[in-house]
Amino acid sequence: MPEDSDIIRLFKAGQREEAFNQIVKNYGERLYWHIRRIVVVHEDADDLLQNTFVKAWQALERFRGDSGLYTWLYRIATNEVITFLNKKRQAQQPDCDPEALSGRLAADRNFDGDRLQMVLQQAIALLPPKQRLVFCERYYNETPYEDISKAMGTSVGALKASYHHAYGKVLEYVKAHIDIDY
Amino acid sequence: MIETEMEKNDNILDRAELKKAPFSVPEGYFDGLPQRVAARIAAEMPQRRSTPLRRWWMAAAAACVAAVVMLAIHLTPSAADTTAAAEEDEELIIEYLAYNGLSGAYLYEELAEAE
Repeated sequence: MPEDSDIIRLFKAGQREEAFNQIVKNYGERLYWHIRRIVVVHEDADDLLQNTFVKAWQALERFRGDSGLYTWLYRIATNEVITFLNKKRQAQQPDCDPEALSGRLAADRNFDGDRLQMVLQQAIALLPPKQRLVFCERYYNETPYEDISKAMGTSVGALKASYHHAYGKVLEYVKAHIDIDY
Repeated sequence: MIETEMEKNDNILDRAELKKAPFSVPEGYFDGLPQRVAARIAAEMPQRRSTPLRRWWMAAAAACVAAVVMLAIHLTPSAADTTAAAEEDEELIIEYLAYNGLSGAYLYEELAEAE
């Protein structure tokens, strides 16, 4: 995999398409899963991933290399996800309603979970956007708080409190909606 | 030691199978990603280049709206209505004009000229 510095050099030397193709190949899948675990639905994740790369293309000329390319892309993707989730909540769209989300996931060919997984996704969908993001990053990826802090611009202490609160809400929801014998 | 139901439930989120996100992707999704991203960028970028043209259209549209509003103010019978209303209290006039969608400041000038 080419180094970030080589890719940036290629981009600034005028071989923009080639350099950007390499960025998409290097980081596309990782970014996709970061987005998908939060928004759940493949079509939404695909749209947000492409939005992320469009914004990165427009901003790459100004990239100073203060962080690695992936960290920079991760921040763009995170902002896209939060904006998307906030818009959905304001519009009271179906994914914010657990039953509607269940229906959508049950019909989704790209969702492979059982009933317990479905209930977990419902619980996560009820979290406010930033809590949802922190919960998914810690729960699924065990991303260090320091890395989440850099992406979201929120202190580590606040993130820890947010995760603890989100974990409690998710656990309570799951316990209330599944059989004890599960 | 027998695990209580409560303890079993409390650990439910820590089960390994739950931590594997239950998602898949369509076959070939990542292989085709660079091409789809390139197509999306190409599709979006021309819209940004048309901004000067969009600005021209917006300016032209704004000028037309302003001309229509000025003509409507000049021609409407509200001049006759406001002549009668002009004898009333000042605040009542402004309120009346705002209710009819007209600028109080503008019509004050008109009434002053008429006098």
